[in-house]
Formats: sequence, C-alpha cells, structure tokens
Amino acid sequence: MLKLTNVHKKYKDFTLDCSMDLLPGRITGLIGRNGAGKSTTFKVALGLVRPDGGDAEVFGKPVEMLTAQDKQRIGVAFADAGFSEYLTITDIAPVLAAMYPSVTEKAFLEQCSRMELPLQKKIKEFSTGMRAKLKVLIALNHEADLLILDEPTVGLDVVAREEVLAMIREYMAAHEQAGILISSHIATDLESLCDDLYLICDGKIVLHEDTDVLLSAYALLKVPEDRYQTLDKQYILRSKKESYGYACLTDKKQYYRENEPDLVMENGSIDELILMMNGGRE
Amino acid sequence: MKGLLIKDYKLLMLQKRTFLLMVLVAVCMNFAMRENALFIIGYLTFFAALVANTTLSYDEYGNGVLFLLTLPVTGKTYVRSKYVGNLLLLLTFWLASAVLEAVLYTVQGMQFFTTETMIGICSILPCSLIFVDFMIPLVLRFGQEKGKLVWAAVGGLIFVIIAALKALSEAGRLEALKQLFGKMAQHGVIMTVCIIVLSLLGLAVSYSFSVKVMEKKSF
Repeated sequence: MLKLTNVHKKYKDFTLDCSMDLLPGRITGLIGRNGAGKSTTFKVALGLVRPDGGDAEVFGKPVEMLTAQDKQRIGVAFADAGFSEYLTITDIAPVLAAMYPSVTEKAFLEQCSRMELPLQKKIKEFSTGMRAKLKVLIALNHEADLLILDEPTVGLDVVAREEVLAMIREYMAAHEQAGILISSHIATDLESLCDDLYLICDGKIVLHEDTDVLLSAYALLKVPEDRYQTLDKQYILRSKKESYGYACLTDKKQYYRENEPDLVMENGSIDELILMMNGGRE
Repeated sequence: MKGLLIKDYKLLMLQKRTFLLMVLVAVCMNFAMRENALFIIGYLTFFAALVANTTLSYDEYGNGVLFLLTLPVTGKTYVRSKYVGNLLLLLTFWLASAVLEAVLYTVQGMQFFTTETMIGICSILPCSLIFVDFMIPLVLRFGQEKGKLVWAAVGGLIFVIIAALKALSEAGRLEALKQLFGKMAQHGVIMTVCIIVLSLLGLAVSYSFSVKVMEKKSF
C-alpha cells in the first residue's frame, strides 16, 4: 500500500534514511521524538519532499506519478497544515464535494454537525480539539484506502484525544482493507491503536515490531552494577547507565525470566522503548 | 481544479467589502474626472489583478499549499487554478467596469463608443495580464514577502531600462526604434495587437515557469 525503500534525504543538519512498508488492513504507527523525522517521512511518502535517493511507492506506483484520481484514495491530516483559517466549514464543504466523488456537501456538513463542529464559525476561532477533529474528518470523509495521519492528537486534552482516536477506530472497523500510517509521540495512543510500530531516531528507523510482541516480549531489566558485567547480553538491545546500575532493554523477556529470575523486570512500554533507543547504547 | 477555484472564490468573498468600496470609489471618480473612462477601467482591472494574488497569500499562510497538495491536487493543477482564477477575475472586472462606464457615460449624455476608447479598453486587459504574468511565478518561487522584494527589484530594473532608453534616445541612437514606435502609435490597432500578443506570450512563459517551480518545490 505504501512502501519506502532506502529513502534518503539530506538537509543541512538532518538526514533521513528510512525504509518502511504499510500493508492493507493494518494500522502502523511511527513513533519518535520531536524532530526525529516523522513529518519528513510522511512528506516523502506523499511526494511533498523529493528524496535524494531510494524509492517511495503508493499503491505500487512511484509517488511522483500519483494522479489526482490516486490521491482521491488517500486521506491525510497534518498537525500544522490545513485549509485557510479564514474559511468556515460551510465554505469548505463544496470544495471537498468538488474534489471527491464520494463526498456530498450535505453529508459532510451533517458529519461535522454530529461531531459538534460549528458550521459558520471561521476555523481560526475553533478550539484546538475542534481543529483536530475537523482535520481528521477531512481525511476520513472520502472513504480513502490509505490514511496518513501526522500527530492527529497533538495538543489535545484527554477527552478530545479519545474522540479523535475513536473516529480512527470506527473508520478502521468499517474499512477493514484500509491501511493507516499514524504518528504520535503520545505512546498510549499508539499502544491501543496500532498493529505494528516503527521507531525513528535521528532520521533512521531503529526498530520495527508488532505492537503485541512489543508489549509482551519486550521488557526493561534493572541490573545492579556488579551483575551487569556477567549478564548474558545476547538479547539485550540497549543499555543505559542509571543510579542503581544499568537499565537494559530486551526483546526476549521470557529468556531472562527463566535464566535470570532474580532480576527486577518491568514490562515493555513504548515510552521506555523511545527513551532506551534514544538514550541507551548498543 | 473546480474545488480549488471554489476555495479561491470563497477566499475572495472575504474581501467583498473592499470590492464594493473600490467600485464606489470608481463611480465617484467617474463623476470627478469626466471623460476618463480608460483610467477608471484600468484602475478597477489592475485592482482585480492585485486582489487575485491575495489567494496565494492565504494559501501560503499556515502551510496551506502543502495541505492542498495532499488533496487530489497536483502541483500543475494548483498552478493552473491560479492562472484560471486570476484570468476569470480580471475578465470579470474588466468587462464589468467597461459596462459600468458605458452606463455612466450614457446617463451623463457623453460619447463612450469611440474608436480611441475601444482600443484603449482592449489594451487594458493584456497590460494587467502582464502584471499577473510576473506576480504568480514570483510569489510561487519566493513566497509573498520575498516576492514583493523581487517585484520591487523588477520594477527598479524596468525603471533603469526606461531611463537608459531615454538617455540613448536623447543621444540620438534610437532613431530607427523611435520611427517604428511612432508608426505603431499612429495605428492604435497594431499597438493593441502587439500588446495582446506580448501578454499571451508572457502568459505561456509565466505558466510553464510556475509549473516548473511547483514541480521542484519541497515543503
């Protein structure tokens, strides 16, 4: 559905080097710190940034060859981009109806009303939550096969965040063959939503794993300093110096549970993963 | 492209009070400056050219262009919508102001349909089109703010060229060119046709440059 192969983009102080594959019927998460390269990856995938090397394909087609008809099958929400804030939802509705054959002005306005979005108010007067809901609604409203959602929950309170996530879950339930690529730095959002996760650090994909595996097989070992030297490190992905000794990230929790039963072990979480992959050493 | 044109129309409608004000000013000017239809039609048509460009500013603000390109819109379609939108607005204002002037002249019992006035009216549209030919690619390439600076530089360059031509003319080195322009001025129709051809050529060059700018643009 979406495939990036050895995509390379060099900026003055940042280099993106990544490969990823989004399959139909899956929600794939892209996680990483601010500035790790999530938005740049999305822009490459949409042909908005021209890579220096590698291939970006959508629906099996090079991204630069995508036609308007192909783009009708894609729904996109960027955290920091949208329709002019001087427009109202009533202004936007005929624009979307003219662009997507499956959208009617009436249906879009009804959807917005259901989401309690004001139809006549300028977008610049919307709350952060309203803006986020509108962006996601615009991405979801035309029955897209591929959704690319960049930080759709950024800056939202718990209630608004849950509403946005519910919209995405409902969409996926109704469109089983659709593929969603979503980024966030709020780990819990992605833990509950994604089938698999890519972790990006400094422009490089450092980990790709199914969420179930990540939550069930990954763990954080808290190893005292004297034990660290003799610890079997064959399944340790990253280690980080801590006040008590070393925090060690493993993807073979069961192995250490059986062989090092006295070690303190915490179940893997995405937040820990981000911290270890960013701050730890191999 | 229809969707983009609707969006631009909605953005332009945000300025409907300014439009009305300009028309009112034009009507007042008509009574203050009797028998000066060309100035007023020119004023309104150039105003339309300026206003049409504000949709580029609206798009530029808040990563709007990036967002529009995530919709079923290619860079080429975006550029085309800007030229079509600008031309439609220019044409509307040009026609409407000509009709307005015709009505006002008739009401005041003055002669409107003279050859001289018609030739003048026909020259205004391509002249304002030349402005659009410069403005769209400049804003797309440099952005609204830098685009204004580049536009000022272009204006300065044109001024320098005119000053140089004047100096050369005074030195008697442009006699052949002066004779040519003199002959053309005697034949207003030829002059108007030249301006139209020039503006259409400019439009073609401007459009292909703008498409190239959009195709190379990274967001």
